[in-house]
This record gives sequence, structure tokens and C-alpha cells, in this order.
Amino acid sequence: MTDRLPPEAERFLRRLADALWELASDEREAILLELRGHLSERAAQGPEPLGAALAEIGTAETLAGQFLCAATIRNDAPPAPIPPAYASPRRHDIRALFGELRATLRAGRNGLFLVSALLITVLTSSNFLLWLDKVRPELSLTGWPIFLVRTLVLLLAITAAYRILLSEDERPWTVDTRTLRAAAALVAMLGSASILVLALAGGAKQGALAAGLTAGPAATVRNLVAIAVLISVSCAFLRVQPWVAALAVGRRDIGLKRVWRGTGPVFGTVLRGWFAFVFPFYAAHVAITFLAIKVLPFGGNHLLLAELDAFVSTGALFAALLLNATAFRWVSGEAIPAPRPFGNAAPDAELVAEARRRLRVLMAGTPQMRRG
Amino acid sequence: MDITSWQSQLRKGAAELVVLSLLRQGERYGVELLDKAGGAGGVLSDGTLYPLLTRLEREGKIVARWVMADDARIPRKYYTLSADGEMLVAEMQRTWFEFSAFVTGAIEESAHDRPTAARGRTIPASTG
Repeated sequence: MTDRLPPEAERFLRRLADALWELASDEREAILLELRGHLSERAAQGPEPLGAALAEIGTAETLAGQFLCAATIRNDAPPAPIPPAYASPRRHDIRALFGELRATLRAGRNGLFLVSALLITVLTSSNFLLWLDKVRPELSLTGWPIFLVRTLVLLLAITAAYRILLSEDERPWTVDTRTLRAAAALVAMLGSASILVLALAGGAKQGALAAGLTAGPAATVRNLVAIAVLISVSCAFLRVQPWVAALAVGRRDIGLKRVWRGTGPVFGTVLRGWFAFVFPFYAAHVAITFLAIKVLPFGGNHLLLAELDAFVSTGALFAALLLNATAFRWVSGEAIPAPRPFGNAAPDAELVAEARRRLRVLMAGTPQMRRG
Repeated sequence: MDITSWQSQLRKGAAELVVLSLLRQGERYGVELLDKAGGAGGVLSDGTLYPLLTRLEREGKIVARWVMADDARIPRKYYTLSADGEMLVAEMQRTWFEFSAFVTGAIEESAHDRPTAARGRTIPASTG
């Protein structure tokens, strides 16, 4: 939608966009559009004014640093909305979304701890337990009690992950009413989705898709309807995920209705993000599971695959949580906080005291100016 | 003493007042602000203006809206003073006038005193 500028100006804007990846997309777009307009006017005056403007602006990284410092100031008022025609193309940019995911991760205070906690959670994944069950059947780790414990740990890990990524919660692993609400919402969603899948699978069993295509039009239609319902429910499931994040961080003002409406305009981006960042992990998980169960005999190789599957499953879970957390920020309208060097936390008390002391000494040694 | 560093600090302090004062005259966008402040001794530059506007907007001193002007191909972000900004700039201008009068007075006094003192130091004690 925007006109092309001379190459040096386009290069500058690209570098600025890269350097501003910490900012929320709305803010980044607004800055880039304003700078594009500025450079466009200078370019219209001729190559010299444009060159002078670029020289005065300096490097994209320095300018970005100034914007990031400004962005640490708390802003309660909503920013001026960009004309939609100029805002929409960038919203669907996967690269920009990747920037937001990275920013969400960096804003989390304890990303590595989170990864290891999730990894421990998924180390007890079905693939691993399946191997153990075959090698040491007397342990029988695939029973219902183990399944229940695994599910509870996973729900706690998900709630904690949202708190680490989205709030300043000092005790993200504490079980409280927020944990219970988020867990209940997740269980309700996963439970209803599972029931639906089982029902659809039961229907499909009567006329499986492959057979249905040849068994006659009625079976084919039934199977296609089943697939369409499954896709729709999956999309709806994906669309309301930020609500679970809201429950986990105790944001009661962000209800299911607000999340549903909020994710509507950005759902295309969320879906693309899911296919770009989450789906590859799922695909790898399916491939590993297939190899482990169908191809390799249970033994050392299987264990290696089970371990690899734990990493892959952690990746899938972690990418999905990051995506949902980012979608939550879009819905709530919150900017992603800039990471440290640019943080505006209260200065160190000792440094302030030392600065005051030096100032007093300086003032005491300065003769007072006379007037008149 | 590094005069460049001192000048830079001086400009930083004045830039906010210049922008707010220009916006007191009416709604303006970035290029317009720079052109209006063109001769203001380098107080505003292409590189410092937009982060400053972002900061002022976030602090609630100015408000912005996007406008598709007839003579532009890209929308412009126009800024105006908020109610808080109006009060602030009036106070800043009053403070600035008092401050500049004080500083100018002190500098002028110093400039008047200096030749005598200088002569006192440079004239030899005995000229014969």
C-alpha cells in the first residue's frame, strides 16, 4: 500500500523494523509509518534533503534505542489507530510475529527454568512411558493414576508458564484459585475436544475416510462433514486460548467474549503462526511416535527416540504457549515490556544516595551568583 | 571542558519546550515541526524529534491522530497538546523566561567584569 522509497531509505526502514522487534506490532507499525512518511517528504524534495535527513537520523539501531527507551514509559491511553489500509499488510507478516514471540519470551523472567520445567513434565510423555512399560512391565506406569498425575503437573506447568510470560508474579508455581480456574477451563476445552474427536472417530469407523470415498456419496459427505467440524472446533479452540492465559494471570476483565472478539481480526496471523511455529513440532512428534511404535523394536533405539520426542513435545507446548501469550497481549492491548537495558525500574538506592552526596559537595563548593 | 557535550545537554533540555511551544500554536506533524524549528540552533533534528514525540505522547502531554492529507501519499501523524500539555507548557514557558533572564543577567555581569579582571592579571606590576 505504501509507495517505495529510494533504496537507501528502504534499507534504513528495514533495519529499523528489525531493531524495533521488541515493541508490540501496533507501536512498531506506527513508528515505521511515520518515519516512512517523513523520508518520503524529504525524498520528494530531492536526493540531498533525503541524504541529509538520513545522516541526521543516524543509525537505525541508535534511533531504535531511543524509541525503546520512550516505550518503557507506562501509557494508559490507547495509541492513535493507524489507518487500516496501512496497518493490515504488516499484521500478517510472520517475521513480525516471530519478533513478538521472541519479545514475549524475553519479557518472561525465567524462560530457561520454564523450558526445563516443561521438559521434565513432558519427559513423562506417553512415548517415554510406553517404552518403560514394555521394558519394565512390572512398573505399569501407563495406568490411570500416572495419567492423572501427569495431567495435573502439565496443567500446573501451563498456568505457571502464562504467569512467568505475562505477569510479575513472584510465585508462579503456587496453586491458587487462578490455577484452578485456568486448569478447569483447559480441562473443559480438552475434554470436550476429546469427546468430539472420539465421536467423530466412531462415526468415521463406520465409514472410514478412505473407504468412504469409494463407499458411496453418503459416507463421503458424512466424513467430509466430520472433518469440517473437527477443523472448526480446532480453530475455535485455538481462538479462545488467550482466555486460559487471562484466567492464569487473574485478569478477570478479559472474559471469553472479549477474547473471542479480540482474536477475530488477528486470527489469520495466529493461524499462520501456529502452522509456522507449532505445527512442525507436532509433525515431528507424530513421525517419531510412528517410528518408535511401528518401525523400531522396543530397546535402546526406542529410548533415544522417546527422549528426542520429549524435546519435540516440549517445543510444541512451549511454542503454543508463546503464541497464546502473544495473542493475549493483542487482545488485552498491552505492549510487550521492553527487556532490561531499556527497563525503567527504580534506580538503585545506593547510587541515588551517592549522587545526592556528590551534588551536595558540588553545590557547597560553588560560589553563589550575585544579581544586579 | 567538552563544549559539544554541554551543547548536547542544553539542546535536550530545550527540545521538549520547543516542541510543546510549537504545538501550542496549533496541530502539526513531524516535518512541519522540524521546518518551523529549522533555525532553532539544532535543538530539534530528524533523529531526535520522533522519539521525543513518542515520549511526550506516552506521557500524555500531547495527543495524536493519523490524517490522510490531499498532498501526501502516506498518512501523517498530527500532534496537538493535551489539557495536561497546555498547563505544562504555560508553566515551562514561564520558568524558561525567568531562568533565561537570570542566566543572561549573570552572563552579562560576568562579561562586564571580565576585562577589568583580565587587565589586572596581565598588566605588569611595575611599568617603570
